[in-house]
Amino acid sequence: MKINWRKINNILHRDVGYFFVGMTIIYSLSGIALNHIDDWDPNYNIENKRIHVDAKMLSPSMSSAEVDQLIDKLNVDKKIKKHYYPNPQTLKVFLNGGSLTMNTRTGVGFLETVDRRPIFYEVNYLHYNHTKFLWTWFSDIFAGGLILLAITGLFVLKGKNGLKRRGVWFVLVGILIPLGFLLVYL
Amino acid sequence: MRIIFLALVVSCVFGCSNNQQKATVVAGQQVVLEEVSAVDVVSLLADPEAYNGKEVVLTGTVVHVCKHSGKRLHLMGSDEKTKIRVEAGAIGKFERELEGSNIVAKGIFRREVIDEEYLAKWADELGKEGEHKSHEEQEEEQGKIKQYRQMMKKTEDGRLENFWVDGISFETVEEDVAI
Repeated sequence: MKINWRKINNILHRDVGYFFVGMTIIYSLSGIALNHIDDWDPNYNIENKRIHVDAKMLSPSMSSAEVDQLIDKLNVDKKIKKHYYPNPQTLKVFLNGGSLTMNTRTGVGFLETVDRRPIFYEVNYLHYNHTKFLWTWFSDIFAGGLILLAITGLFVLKGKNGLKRRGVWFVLVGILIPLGFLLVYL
Repeated sequence: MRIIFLALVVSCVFGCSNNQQKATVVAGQQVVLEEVSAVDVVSLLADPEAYNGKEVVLTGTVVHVCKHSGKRLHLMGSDEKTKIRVEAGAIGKFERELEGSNIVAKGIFRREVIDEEYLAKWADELGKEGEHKSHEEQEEEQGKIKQYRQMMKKTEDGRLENFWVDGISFETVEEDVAI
């Protein structure tokens, strides 16, 4: 009996492809996010706002209740975690999702809000492999799956759109582009 | 039925990773801290030689988490002045949400003395291995050496001490930890 290698190849390509759709999207999204790490924070949406209050509201030894009042006055909808004075004229208030830094003499300060970016935070978390343990194995299997997808992808079609005719040019260009970068920059 | 299944998968994928670092974390696994008596940052730095190279359990408030990498944080002691750097090490990464939280961290305490001999060796290595580093990296390191030399001039014994903890695990605690 003759083994139909192309049929096996195509089934493998199809089913491995189905199986790793989620992983491909996770790693692609976080790959784009982390590629631009110099331009943005891929995990958090950070906003800074300059604030000015009457300096009489501030002092170098405010109680938790007084800091509560200040936060209420500023209409900040975040819970206070802790406050302290890095130096006598600076009040630092840590909030759930940000912080407030105030100059107790001038009443000028900055409110920084830090919120997780939906989707990106989660995919980056996985991409960075913070969970370790079984995720390391599963992501290694995914990496192997990608190699398998690439190789089986070469042999899905035959004829004018197959590897030997149309495909070979795409494969060559796809290999030459990274090689070109290596030649120029390495 | 299909909708329920999909909802379960989605909530697991995103919900599981959305947990804040409340429990003890080491290399991504949940573990229990050994019962070692905890020491405040102030007490630790009051007698650094006693703890050098030893495993410590440290308590304090997180006042800064490295924004770019999350690879280190600054832990403040009970006097609200003394701080020490904790390197993520085996923990992997610290989340920004930890700022303002009280934690109990376990790690190895490190003490490094920076003197002229140390800086001369560093400058020599930089000269020899400089070709393996980018121009920016070389400039940054040269800048640090220069900065350390300037700082050393201001000290009585002409040397600086650098302290940090190589983190093994940590746990957030709700209230200030009494020592």
